[in-house]
Amino acid sequence: MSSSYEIAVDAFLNQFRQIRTTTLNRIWMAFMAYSMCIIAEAFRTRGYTVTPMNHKNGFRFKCFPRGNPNLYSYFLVKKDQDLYEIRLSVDAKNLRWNSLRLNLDVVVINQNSINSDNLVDSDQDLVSFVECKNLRGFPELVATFEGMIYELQRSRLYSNSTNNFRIPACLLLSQLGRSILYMDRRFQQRNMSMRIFDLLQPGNPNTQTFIQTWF
Amino acid sequence: MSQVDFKKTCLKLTKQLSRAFIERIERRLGQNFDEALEEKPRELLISVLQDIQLYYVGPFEYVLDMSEYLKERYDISQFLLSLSKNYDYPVSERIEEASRIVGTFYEMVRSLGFQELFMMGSRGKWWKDEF
Repeated sequence: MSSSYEIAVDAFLNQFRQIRTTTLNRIWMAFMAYSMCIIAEAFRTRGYTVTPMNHKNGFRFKCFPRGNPNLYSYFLVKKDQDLYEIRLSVDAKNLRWNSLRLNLDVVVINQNSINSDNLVDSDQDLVSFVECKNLRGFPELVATFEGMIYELQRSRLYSNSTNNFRIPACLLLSQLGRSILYMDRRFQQRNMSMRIFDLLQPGNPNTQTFIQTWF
Repeated sequence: MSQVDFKKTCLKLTKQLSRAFIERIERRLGQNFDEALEEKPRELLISVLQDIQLYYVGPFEYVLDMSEYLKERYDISQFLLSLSKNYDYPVSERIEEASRIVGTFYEMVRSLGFQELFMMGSRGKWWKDEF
């Protein structure tokens, strides 16, 4: 007769065998959507009013780089004179420096700042942005993130840049990498406007930490 | 609770997993799978469960969390992941499946005596400060 743990293992494996790779690959995109929601919650915690927009037929998270962002759902956040949109998968480019055009996972932008080319000017209208990686962090990933910041808003990389960019750009990871905490500490010691958060998983207190301490 | 046979459980689970999955664990442990199975089957089983949680169960947990969040905070019961211009993946229709996968995983973890190592299943609500 099987013991209780063997029954439990068999029960899980029965479910596990039914998971199809295509389903899993699609469901993984939920990490981006989850990140967008915790970002909205971070604003709410700081007294902003958060309103979901464009969700008449269900909230549509834009999880691919192309397409018109205005056809998808987003959050509108408002407090005093601040009026921002939180959106997924939006292209940004620094028009002053003619930088690369980069697709960003989550953006916080000034309201109505997406132009007719579906582009946001990172010099004028990009308030903050977040890259979401549902994997264990590693140094090359952080270097890539720094490169993106260099293209779009390079003065975030200077010391004391939080004075000019009060909402840091962020790299969100679903798992811990050994060097990641060290790198994040270094950014904070120099008061740079970028942060790294890891272990952003349901039920993990790190999600709450992100919401409370992002900016 | 009956004595858990870590070695047997490890083999049973990994039989369902790809070579790439095993290699990732080997790299992390710095040891060949068969050696680890002989020398430290408990640690190996924990590693296997951690990676199953991260790569297979985790995505479904995000779906469950999002579903509750959108419903409770904004009264939105339908949500979709738009994966291309012409394709929306109706995630809210997969909630039952997600619940089954997540539920059986944590039941297994509990029955193996590892519940304290797997905080993810505690399901605190970050939008209600439940930590």
